Order: sequence, then C-alpha cells, then structure tokens
Amino acid sequence: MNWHSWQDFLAMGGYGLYVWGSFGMVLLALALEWWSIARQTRAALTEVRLAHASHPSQETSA
Amino acid sequence: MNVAYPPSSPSPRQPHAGSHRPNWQQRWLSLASPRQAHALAGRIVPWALALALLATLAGLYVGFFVAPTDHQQGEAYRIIFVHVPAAWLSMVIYVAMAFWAALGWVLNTRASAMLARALAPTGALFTFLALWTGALWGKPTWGAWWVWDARLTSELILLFLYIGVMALQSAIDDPRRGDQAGALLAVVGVVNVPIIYFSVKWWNTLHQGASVSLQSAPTMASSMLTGMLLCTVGLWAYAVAAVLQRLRAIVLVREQHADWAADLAKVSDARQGARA
Repeated sequence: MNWHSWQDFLAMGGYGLYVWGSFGMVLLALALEWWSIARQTRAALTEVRLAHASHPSQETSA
Repeated sequence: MNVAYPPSSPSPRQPHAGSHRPNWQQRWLSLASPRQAHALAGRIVPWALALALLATLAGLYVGFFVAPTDHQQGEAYRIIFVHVPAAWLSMVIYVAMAFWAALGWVLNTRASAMLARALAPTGALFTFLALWTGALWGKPTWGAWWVWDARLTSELILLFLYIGVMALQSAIDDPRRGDQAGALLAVVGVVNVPIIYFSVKWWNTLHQGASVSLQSAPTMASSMLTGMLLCTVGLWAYAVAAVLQRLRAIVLVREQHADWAADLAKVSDARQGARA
C-alpha cells in the first residue's frame, strides 16, 4: 500500500496540485463533453420534430 | 450462382440477385447509410460506456494503489496514467478522422463524413488534455509549464489542425461542401501525426522517449504498465461512446426530413412521457 492516510493520499508526496490538477481536468472535460453531447442530442430531436411539424405531408425515405 | 427461382419464390426486392442473402460487400456498404449507422451506434454506446467505467476504475486503482512510487519523479509520475492515454488518443482519433473524411469524400458515403465530424471535437478535447496534463507534469519535473520542444510544439499544431477542421466544416453552409473542405485539411494534416510520434527520436527533445514501444521491452514497472494500459482501454472506450453518441445527433440533424427520424423522435417523446 502506497498511502498511510487520506492526507497522505491527497498530498501525493508534495505533488498533489499537479496530480489532482491533471486528473481533475480530465474528469471535468469528459463530464462537460458528455453534457454537451446530451444537449446536442436533445436539440437534434427538437429539430426533427419541427421539420415534421411544418411539413407533415412530406414523403422522404431513408 | 444462377438460381432459377420458382414462381412462388419470395424475392420481390431483388429479382435478379443470385442469392437471398446480401453478400459481405452489400452488408458493409449498408453501414454507410446514415440510418444504419445511427442504429448501430446506438447499440454500441451503452457497452462502450460500461467498458469505459470498468477499465478506468480498475486502471485508477492499479495506478494509485498498486503501482509503486517512482524513484526519480516521486508521485508526480502518476500523471502518466492520464497523460499517455490522452496523447495516444489525440493521434489515433486524428488518423481515424482523416480516414473517414477521405472515405466520405472519395466514395461519397454520407455516414463516413458524419463520423469524421463526430470524431473532431473528441480528438481536440484529448489533444487539449494531453497538453494540459503535460504542462502539469512538466512543471515539477522540468521546472517549466511549457517549452518549445519538438514533441510539445507538434502536439500543439495537432490541436490547431483539429480546430481548423472543425472551423472549415461548420463555416460552409452546405454540409456536403463543409465535409469536403474539412476532409482536405484533415488529410493534409495527417503528416503531423508521425512527426509527433517520432519527434522524440528525430530531435533532441526535453520530452522523454516512448514509454512503450513494439521494438523493446517497456521501460517501466509492470504494475505501472498495467495501470496505464487499463486507463488507455477506459479512455478509448469513453471516446468510442462519446463519438458515436455525437454521431447519432449529427445523423438526426442531417436526416431530419426522413420519416425514420420522425418515428424516432416520437419514440423518444413516448419514453419521456412514460418517465414523467
């Protein structure tokens, strides 16, 4: 086991700022990306609904 | 094969086809249809997310609790568990983006071009993360957040290439022409990827050499390597999930007038209604 206590773990041998700054940014970036993709998906579905609400008789096939 | 169908043979769609089953080429090309790509991506995303979670948690456990302290860099070296996977992904995603963009351009397969668009933001994000974690690793080990070293500079150019590709794709109103403009820059920019990879060999750089290579044994303890590879699998699986989920949104917008898209939006409405 590398760590004797929570403080020890968070301190990372004096490099806490660098280590947690790296892992924290990765977590933050991925969370923000996933959130933005979820928003993009909702916006896409809304766009589809609008397209078909204004042209209800349009016949297009995939 | 020339098989004469009896009059009752149920092959109304392809009366001239030699076989009932589509051959592998037809199957493969059917994935180029945006509708098929949307469906396939939807099936992969949950599995990729589950794998991402499991592998990342395992990798972090090994990285923080099993891998020993480095005798030269102390605990600062643990940044490797995100830095190297992010840097690898930044290059792999670029090559994938250029490949699909070129395929979409040459074969005119719409789903390929949409996949190229879906790859760009995730690739740019991992490039940023490679630079960010690299700066936080450089400060305690080299004494500088940034140096104009060949490895760092070529990785920064990669970030600009991603941004340029995305800007070209979105600057042109006609999506097909936007795809082509983005593809041109993406393909030209591929030359930068081997430059990044070999920069530590070709130039005398501050950046350390490859931690893992196919020619020689890894230069690190096996638990460090295990942790790094698990984190790589985890972030790779995350990237697959993110890219495919974004692809689904892109396909929906591009195919918004298709009936299948409208049916899908209705299903989504019904699900939300059931949840409420």
